[in-house]
Amino acid sequence: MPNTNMLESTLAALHVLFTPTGSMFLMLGVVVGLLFGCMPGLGGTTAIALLMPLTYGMESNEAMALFGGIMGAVSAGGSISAILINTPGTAPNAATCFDGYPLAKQGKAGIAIGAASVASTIGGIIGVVVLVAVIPLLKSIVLLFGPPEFFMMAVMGLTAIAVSTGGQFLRGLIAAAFGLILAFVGYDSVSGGIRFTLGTDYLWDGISLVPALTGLFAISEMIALSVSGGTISSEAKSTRIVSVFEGVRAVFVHWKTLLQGSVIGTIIGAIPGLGGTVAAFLSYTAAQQISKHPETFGKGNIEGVIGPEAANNAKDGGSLIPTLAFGIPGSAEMAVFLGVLVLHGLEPGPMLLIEHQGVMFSLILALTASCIIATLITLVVARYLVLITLVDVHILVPAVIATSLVGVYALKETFGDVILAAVFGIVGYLMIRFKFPRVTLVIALILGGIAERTLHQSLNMASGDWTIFFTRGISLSLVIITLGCLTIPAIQSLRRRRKLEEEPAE
Amino acid sequence: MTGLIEWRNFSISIGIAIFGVIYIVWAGTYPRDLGTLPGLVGWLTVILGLLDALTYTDTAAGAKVRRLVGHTVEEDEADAPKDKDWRTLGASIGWPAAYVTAVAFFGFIATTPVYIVLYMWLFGKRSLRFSLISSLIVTVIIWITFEYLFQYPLFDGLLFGASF
Amino acid sequence: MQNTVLTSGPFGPVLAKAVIAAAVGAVTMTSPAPVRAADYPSKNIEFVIPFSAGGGFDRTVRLWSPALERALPHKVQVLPTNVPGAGGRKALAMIMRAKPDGTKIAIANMPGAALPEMTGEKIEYDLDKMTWIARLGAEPYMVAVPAKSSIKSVADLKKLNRTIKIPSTDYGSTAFAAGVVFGETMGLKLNQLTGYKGTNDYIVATIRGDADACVAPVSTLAKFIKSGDMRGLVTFEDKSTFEGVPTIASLGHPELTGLAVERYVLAPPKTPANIVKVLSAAFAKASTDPQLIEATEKAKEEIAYLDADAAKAQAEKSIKIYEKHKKLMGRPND
Repeated sequence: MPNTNMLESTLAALHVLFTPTGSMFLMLGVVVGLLFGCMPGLGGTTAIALLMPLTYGMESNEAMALFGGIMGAVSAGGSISAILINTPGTAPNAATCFDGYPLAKQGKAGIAIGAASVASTIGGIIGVVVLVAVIPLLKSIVLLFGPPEFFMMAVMGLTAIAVSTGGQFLRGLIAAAFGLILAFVGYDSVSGGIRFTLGTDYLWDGISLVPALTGLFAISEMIALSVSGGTISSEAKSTRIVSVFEGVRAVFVHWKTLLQGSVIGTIIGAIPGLGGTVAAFLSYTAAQQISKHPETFGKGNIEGVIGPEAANNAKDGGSLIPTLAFGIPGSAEMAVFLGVLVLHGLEPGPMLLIEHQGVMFSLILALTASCIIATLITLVVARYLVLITLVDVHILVPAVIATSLVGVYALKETFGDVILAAVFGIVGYLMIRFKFPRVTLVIALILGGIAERTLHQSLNMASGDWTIFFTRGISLSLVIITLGCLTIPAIQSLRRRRKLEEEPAE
Repeated sequence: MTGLIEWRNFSISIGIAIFGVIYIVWAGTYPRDLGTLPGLVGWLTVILGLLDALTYTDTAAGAKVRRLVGHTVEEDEADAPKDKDWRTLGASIGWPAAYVTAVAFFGFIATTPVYIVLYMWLFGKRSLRFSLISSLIVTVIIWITFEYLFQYPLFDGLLFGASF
Repeated sequence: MQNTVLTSGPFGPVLAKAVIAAAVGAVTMTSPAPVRAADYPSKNIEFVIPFSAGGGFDRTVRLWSPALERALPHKVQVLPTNVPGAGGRKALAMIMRAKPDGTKIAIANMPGAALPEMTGEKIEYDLDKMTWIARLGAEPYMVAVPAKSSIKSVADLKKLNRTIKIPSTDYGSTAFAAGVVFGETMGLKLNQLTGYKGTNDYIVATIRGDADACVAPVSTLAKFIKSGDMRGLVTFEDKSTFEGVPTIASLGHPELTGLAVERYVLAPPKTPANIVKVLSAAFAKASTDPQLIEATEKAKEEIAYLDADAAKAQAEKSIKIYEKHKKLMGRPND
């Protein structure tokens, strides 16, 4: 019976985790994850890729403890640098910068870190719980989503752009258009052609995401900091422990945002290719929509930290859904992680969960434990971390730039990535200066490629018949939701304007 | 009198529209299945660029677009980051650019300490001793983490045999 | 974690580099000294994989690398390095330009790598000029349908009397080409759905119903057949692994037996003969390594080793099969 099997596997996995070597590897994973997470340019994929060869010959369960530890801790680490120096440690933490950094500037970094950590933990746990709950349905879920559904999800994500422009509607759309333009660069696997590569090999695969994001968010912020000078925070209020717990409390006060972020993260994580960045940004815009004070977003509203942080951890559980079901990686980290599985003789595919259930449960358990441990570590060191906001900017700027670029190079050992990051750093600064939202560019860059590819795929499948998007149940529902997302804000603002116009007449 | 409200923003938007035109032509050089979507996006860019430029003009049409889009010129000017002098701006961009160029030739380990020291001393006006110590600490940390702990070769620079 | 920390770069060269940089001396690039036979290998070898982590070629390289390390005459590390891009062409272009000092070798998908040239595209590598080291494996293809599909045989496919939808990753893929060969030989009209991210992805797509049937390596399909999601239609093996699945020969087309995705090891052009000999011998020795044999059995992969000359000959033979059908191999919307 499946239930007793799962219980047995869970107990066996717990057993492994509590052995001295098991917990040692878990702790190592958590620490590595935190470190790689908080250094801009590095991230989960680099950490996994780096440690992979070292685990050859290790017992599989212990390897899972290590990698589960890494995956659960990475975005927690990334939130630290996002909040303290406005530099996302990993791409999904970029959304945390929007309200996390303003909080740090107001001397409330402790609150932000406290909230981010706890939101990460609970988000991660919810993601794993959903994963385990749907294990009997894994394959069916993955089979529900084909190219037309992926296309509609990409379109839905793109409409989130229209809503997230935060007062810079036209410039937001222009930035999105540029994101699409960048997405078109490179090799298109559907038609087999190469576009816009300016004759270089480097651009064959398009614009690499991590260097671009590092430049756009990390390096550009350093340039901005260099221009403004001084220190990040002008007050030393943030070093008190009390404020950290205030952040923890805030998470439970805003439980709706937390829940929403976790659900968004899990779902988006389950869709191969979208990943944590999209999940975090979408969660941010969603948090803004349900908030009672949407206009305070971007100026230090704690909900803007809770939502994205819950999402970028929940996605870990979600991304295991297609990975465990069929061996299709749900995120970039999962893709590298598949290599780890292969190394240990665990073949990714539909038999993975059946033949190696115990090992997979070790992974899931490690992931859960890692979320919790990472948060505990962060909360403990938070008061020391916030001292960074008092460090002189002139040390911080070159140090962060150097570390980010070294990290970016470490990804693929291609110097082109470093140049790309630097170029995007300058572009990012110009965007900050002239108020072009960078969020919309990023969303369009990520989703544009997916949208075009799945559009072509869907039309090929349907032999050119456009109605395919309306004849499939899920696709149709997504169309309706997208239209709703587009029109509801417009209707709301019209109603608001009409109310304002009616009042003077009284 | 019609005129420009904010010449910098206006020129940028016009520049974007011009880029859009170039992009449309570029997309047109590809066969139909590859070039259609980019071409459409190009058109979008041109239209958006022109509309945006319009909002920075003192015309009636500009005012209408501003109202539609929902932002006012006063808001813009209040929010705009205060422009420091050109020197600070240029230097802030120039330093990282110079760093990357130097790394291309000399590699990370050689260039990073030099960059940090010079930036802190010349641009940040910190004392030479403080700059030297900080830069050494940062470089050593980077080196330990990457080359020693994780065995990741850092870029050696063209001068030392590395290739792109 | 035994030897890695200890073999890290010593402090000396770092100081030396800093001194040289500070002096801003001469601008000459260092050129590699010729390697004597007894010296090779003296530096770590990068084993380049033209695809991203998790796929079949990735697996092959990671399984063989430790065995290769053990078989080489001197102790160096063999580092699997993923260089995905442009359907595998990026990595091959890189090898084409790399220094012929035996520090970079690549695994190549054949005849996938030969397809772009066949269809007249401009590519940055020349298979004739590259140095052939060995063939590591050959995975025969199979055509399969979803288990619940009403199609029970190839004849059923023909009876449908419409375009058959077959998925693949992209035009550089051998699976795509195999599909073309199969379609043309059996007189089927195909609609090739490209753009899937990996073999597992398009097999799942077939299960989902996006496509009618798919062409994939037997070893990859095996797990989906075992799980009950897919069913074999016809196999290109000599002898069918799965009961009830006819071989292509039994269906009247023995010339297609052996249609497979083959994994070859290539080195940069003009690699010195002594290096080729050492590498070849190492691969030969690795192919009998008991740990490798055990690991490949666990991963359900087969070793089909051929030495340098035999490898090149076999590759040319396989290419010829595909060349016969090259008219249908290009991009459809040309």
